[in-house]
Formats: sequence, C-alpha cells, structure tokens
Amino acid sequence: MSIEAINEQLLRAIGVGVALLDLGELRFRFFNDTFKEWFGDIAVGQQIAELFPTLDTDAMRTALDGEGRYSTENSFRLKRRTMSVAMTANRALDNGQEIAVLVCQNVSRIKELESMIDSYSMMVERNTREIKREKEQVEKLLLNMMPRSVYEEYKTFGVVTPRHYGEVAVLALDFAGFAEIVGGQDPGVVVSELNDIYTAFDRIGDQFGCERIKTVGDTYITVAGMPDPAENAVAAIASTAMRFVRYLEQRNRSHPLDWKCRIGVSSGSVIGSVVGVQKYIYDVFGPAVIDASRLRQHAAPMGIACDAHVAEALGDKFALTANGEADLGDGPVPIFALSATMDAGSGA
Amino acid sequence: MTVARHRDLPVQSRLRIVAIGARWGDFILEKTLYEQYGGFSAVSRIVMDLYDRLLDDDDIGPFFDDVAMPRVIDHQTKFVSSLMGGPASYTDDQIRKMHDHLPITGDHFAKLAVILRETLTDHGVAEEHADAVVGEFAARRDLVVNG
Repeated sequence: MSIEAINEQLLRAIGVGVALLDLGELRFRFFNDTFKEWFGDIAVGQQIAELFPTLDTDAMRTALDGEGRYSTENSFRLKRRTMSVAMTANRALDNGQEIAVLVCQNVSRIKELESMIDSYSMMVERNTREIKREKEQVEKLLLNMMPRSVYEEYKTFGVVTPRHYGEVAVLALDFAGFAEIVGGQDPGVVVSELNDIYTAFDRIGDQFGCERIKTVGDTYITVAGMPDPAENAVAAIASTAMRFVRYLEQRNRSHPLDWKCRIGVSSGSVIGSVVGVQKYIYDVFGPAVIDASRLRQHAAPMGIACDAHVAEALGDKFALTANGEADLGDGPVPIFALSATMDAGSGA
Repeated sequence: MTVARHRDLPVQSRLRIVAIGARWGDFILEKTLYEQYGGFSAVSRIVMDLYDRLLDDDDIGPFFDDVAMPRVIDHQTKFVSSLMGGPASYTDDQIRKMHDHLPITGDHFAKLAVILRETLTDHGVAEEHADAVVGEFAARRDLVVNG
C-alpha cells in the first residue's frame, strides 16, 4: 500500500471529522467517514451552508481570505441528542487550487459535562446557603445559652474548661405570687408575658454588661463581671436590679397582669462551665449564686435585697437601708434593701 | 474507581451508621449512599451513563426528543442525586408537576426502573443499595405515571 493510500485510510478512520472545501463557494470536495457519520446525508459538491444553516459563512470566508484560519462551534440535533462540534478551517493549496481543510472535533461530552457541573454547582450553592443559614441559627441559639467567649471555646475545642471567676456580682429574681398567675391565666399568656419581660431584662442587662445565665420558670439569674472581669460589677448589677424594678412598675401601669419581682443581689466567686453532654447548658455555681437566691426570699415585692458585702461595695452612691438580719445558711447576717427609685448618686 | 471499595466491605459495614461531625457535640449523621459511593465525582459517571442509556432507549428516549440538552442533564443530575441522598430533593408536588404533561405509562416507568438498576450495578453499586435506590424511585410511581 502506498503512503498516499495509507494516509487516506487513516484520514477516513480517525475519530475527527475532516472535510476539504473549495475556497470559492465553500463546496465539499471530500469528507472522511467520521464526518459523514456525524452529519449524515451529505454529498460532494454540496455547499457547507446547506449542512450548517447557522454557520456564518461570510465570516468564515473573510477569515480564510485574511488570516487563513477560522474557528467556531456549532450545535445541532443528531437523533435526539444535541451534538456540539468545534470546527477549525485552515486555508491550503491543492494542486494550485485554494481549498479549506475543515477539522471538526466532537465536544458534545464536554458540553454535557459542563451542563452537569452547572447543575451540580447550583445544587451545592443552594445547599451551602441553607447550611449557612442553619449554622447561623445554631450559633444564635448557642449564644443565647452561653457567653460568646465560652461559645468560641466550645466551637473550637468541643468542650469548655470550667473556669473560676474571682469577683462577680449575681442577681437572682423571681415573681411574688407566680403560682397564682400560672394557675389563673392562659398558659400562652403567661409564656408570652414572661418572654416579653425577660427580653426587656436581657436588654437592660446588656446595657450594664450583664450576662444572663438562665431562667428557670419565674427565676431569672444574671451576672456581672464575667466572663470578662469588670471593676464595677457590683454597681452594674445594682443598677440593673433597679431598672428591672422600674421597668416592671412602668409595665404594670399599662398591662392587665401585675408582675411583682423580688430581687436578691450578692457578690463573690463563682465557677462557670457548660454542664451536660446531650442537653447541655452553661451554668454558674458558687456562694454568690446561692446567697443571691436566698436574699431574694428576703426581698419585699418590687424590692431588692443585698448583703453587707454588696452594700459596702456600693457605698454612698446608692440608697441603701438596713433591713435587719437573715440566715443565708451560716447564721444571721445583716441584710440591706436597695431602693429602686431613690438615686443617692451617679451610680444609678 | 472509588465505588469498587464498597463491594469489598461486609454488608454490615456498608450499612452501618457512621458518626461524623461530632466536633460541636454529639450530632450523629447517617452517611448517605451519595457520600458512600464517592460523592459527585463517582455519581457523575452514573449520571452520564444513565443519560446515554435513556437517550438511546427507544421507549424512554422519545420523551427527550424536544428537550434541550442542558435541561435533560440538569434533570438527570438532580434525579440521581435525590435518589441517592445527594444535594437535591424534590417534593411530591414538584415531581407531579414536572411529569404531568407527559404520557408516561406503567411500562415506561418499569423500563426506567430496569435501566436505573442496570446502570447502578454496572457502576459498582451493591445490589441492596441498588434495591434501595430503585425502591425510592418506585415509591413515586403514582406521581409520575399518568398514561
């Protein structure tokens, strides 16, 4: 077999569509088997425009006359498939006659894969947005349960190291006659009212750098001076307590339900940690928490009770009145009532 | 190919619930077939093969005669992904609306189930997993068959 014959056999057999065109009218002079397989009913002498109606033949001719090369992509239906072909035409000479060598590569699979990647990308992007939204909700929920610094530690390490906080101030609050309110009102109303009040308490606490630790029914506990230490933690918690009372007084004037809080304020050291494995909460423990809870029981409705340690720290900037003695666990100790309305100094 | 690994595992290992992402706590997540069989890189081969088989099939293929290629591909990608627990899911209403204009018969549906199963097993998906995927598909028969 001659070299020419071998070349022709190869040209016919390769998986690339090859055709020769007269440059003048862009008519087919030759096409290989692959070209015929792809483009079906085709004959020598046929114009390329008949086969590819969407092909810009003017642009093709101009490019071949100029640079001598023209590239484009064309899509067409082959049975029920969309076939995409990358076409490159190069000007050449054949026995002195100007021709164009047209080489077509099947890029259908590439186009199909591109479509699939587009489809997948859109699915993933949508999922990513949903995951981000859910993550933000989880973060918001966890930030409601623990201070941000504790949350960051939990997020990074999966655990929280219990920490000792030297000097913090604790406020414990409950409502006088809460059992009667719960028994006499619609549950939805009670929960809605508590939500409203606790939300207001949280906002007031935020203004004074307090961190709400938890609510258990009608008990609300917030602290100042942790996780970041504060020089004026006791003053901050006293100011918060006073504003809690004032807020409720104002609220009671315009609402049918009368909420009477009792507040205990103490100070001292506490331990803060996440407690629990499956159902975890952030909690604080220590004498200051116990004392604040016990002092609360000695507070009059809409009153604030504190111990001598707190009274000493508040000094003359707050209106304090000695209120006898109370047993907080280790025998009788003097307790004080902090006025919510009388501002003795700038502290309130 | 990634999927070959799973055939070597005992059935119990393949089906066991895998704990992942426990960094924040004790969230236990079940690994989907989509993840088990190598995610997008492996499932994409199943999608392309299924696309070829469906278009070449003289019963199913005509449904795609007048549908643009990107749309068919998008449909197949989401179809396989949703059946294998990948990042796509359809509500029953969406499935019904997508097919209510097509004269799909029980035979068409059964043929697609056969092609789906063959494609999955040819790509190394274990028989019981192929059963699960085809089962998911079959569960939606009434939403699709209307002819």
